[in-house]
Amino acid sequence: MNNKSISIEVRSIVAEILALSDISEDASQENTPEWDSMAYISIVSAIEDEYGIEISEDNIDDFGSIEEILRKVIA
Amino acid sequence: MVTIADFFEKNLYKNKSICEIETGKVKSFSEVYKGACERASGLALKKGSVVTVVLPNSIEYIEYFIASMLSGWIFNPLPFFTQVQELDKILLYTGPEVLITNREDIKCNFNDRYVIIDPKDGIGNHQEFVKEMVDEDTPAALYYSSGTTGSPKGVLYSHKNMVSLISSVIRGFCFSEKDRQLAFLPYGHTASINYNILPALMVGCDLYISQGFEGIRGRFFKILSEYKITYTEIVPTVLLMLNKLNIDVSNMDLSNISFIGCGSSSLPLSAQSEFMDKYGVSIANLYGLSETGPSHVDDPRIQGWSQGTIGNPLDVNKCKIADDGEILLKGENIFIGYYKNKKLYNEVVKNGWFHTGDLGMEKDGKFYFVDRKKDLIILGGINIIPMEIEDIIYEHPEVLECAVVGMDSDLHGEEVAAAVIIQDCSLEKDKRVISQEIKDICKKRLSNYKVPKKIFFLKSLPKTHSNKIIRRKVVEILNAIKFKKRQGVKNEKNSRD
Repeated sequence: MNNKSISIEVRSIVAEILALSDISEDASQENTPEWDSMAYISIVSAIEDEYGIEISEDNIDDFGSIEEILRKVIA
Repeated sequence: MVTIADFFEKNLYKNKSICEIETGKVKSFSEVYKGACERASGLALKKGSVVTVVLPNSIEYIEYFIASMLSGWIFNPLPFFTQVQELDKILLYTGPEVLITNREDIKCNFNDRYVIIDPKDGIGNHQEFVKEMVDEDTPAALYYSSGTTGSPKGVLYSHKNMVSLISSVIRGFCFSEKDRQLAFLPYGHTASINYNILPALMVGCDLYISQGFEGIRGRFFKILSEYKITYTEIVPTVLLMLNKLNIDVSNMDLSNISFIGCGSSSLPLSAQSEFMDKYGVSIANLYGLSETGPSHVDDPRIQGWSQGTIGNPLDVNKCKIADDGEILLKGENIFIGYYKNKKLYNEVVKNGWFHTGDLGMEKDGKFYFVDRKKDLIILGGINIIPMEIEDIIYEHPEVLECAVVGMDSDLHGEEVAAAVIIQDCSLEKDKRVISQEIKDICKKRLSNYKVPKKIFFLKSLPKTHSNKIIRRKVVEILNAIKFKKRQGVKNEKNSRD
């Protein structure tokens, strides 16, 4: 998968959890009220399941924006 | 001594304090008491006034609680992130004399209808504080929850309820002034209040508070170790997340923690075992309701303890299982009424026995929670009434019928999903549009966690002969569809890779 497809897929996962029709690449907890603490945990879990990223105490706070998530997924 | 504040006063001479973990702010019990008296005199409300608090976890939150107890107000905590339209409905029902909040959107929306106090704007007029004489049978707190029909339901908890309950919690959990409690679950719900904050104020022990799991999840065990925490209360979602994190605790001293209490929703046995194996800290499976507070204690320190039960009843109440399997409770912790709804109270309290709406069983003196009798979704420890969401979904013109249920969720226990029947469900595009429209309607009227994450379009809903929707069957159908979809996506991904 190329970066563009990954971005579309990640945004689609996050949008579904947040009950949004679509979500932009610059979406984050700061500018998306739906992205609350409960949704955050769901997003972390979904990204972990989908991309096999190991969640740890070092990266648990790094899933607060699409940009951050993409950085993790694409790395 | 009538109120929790009376007991707290007795602890002022002790060298105990409340510490905010995120800000580092520390206040001694005496300073907290002084702050509470100033807040009480600043508001200068009459006894019996409803004081609604919509604040993040903080020392000032606790000061407003103590101020309420000292003044005979009815303390009405609401979850900090309650959506404005939902809050509107609740406030119309509770009619508070004062609304205490620092949320700008609430201030903008309700400024013309309610007296709103933002703690950062000062505490009001400075007057000499005069403590009120309070009757133990009058309401101390009004705990809000959605009603079974979607209309608001307020649980009135008297001073006698509260004092009896918390002193029993202290005995049952063997809390003492040597404890160091950590309270981080949202104070708008009763878990941290009943298991951490009130026992700490009453027994007189150090209390550490956090704004929420979000702020401490990466250093949860470090905090337990660093602050030598002896007890804290969590919900299964927190436990499951900590299991995922695989934190290395080998260099941490967790010897002070007696055990961690986990309640508010069903605790999967496998997750409980995994946590205990991974971190070497025992987990208790706790049970209670807003109407009763914690009713049982499951103490892993007891010899011969085994998982899976909710333990023994606390000495404040008796527990028995009715012929139909329902868990019944009777004692001084049973609430005194539903706010403005005597009829509902009489339906659930019969001959002093509170009918919990939960099914259980008793074996060798231990009690087990089996299932819920009532239609309730519990997401991450928060109760959600399906009918409240269904009422809103029915406003969509295409919806003929719907059922909102809790689907299995590995992380939150349950997640909100809706099974919907529409006029013509043949067009995929229409379904996508309608699905989003339904979510949008819900978002405008409900807090985020109540918005259905998944909407399924079915041709019919399973029903009884009397035409009642069989929710359990709906859950089975939706779980099966979700499983099938997941398998399909996995297969497609595998073939792509």
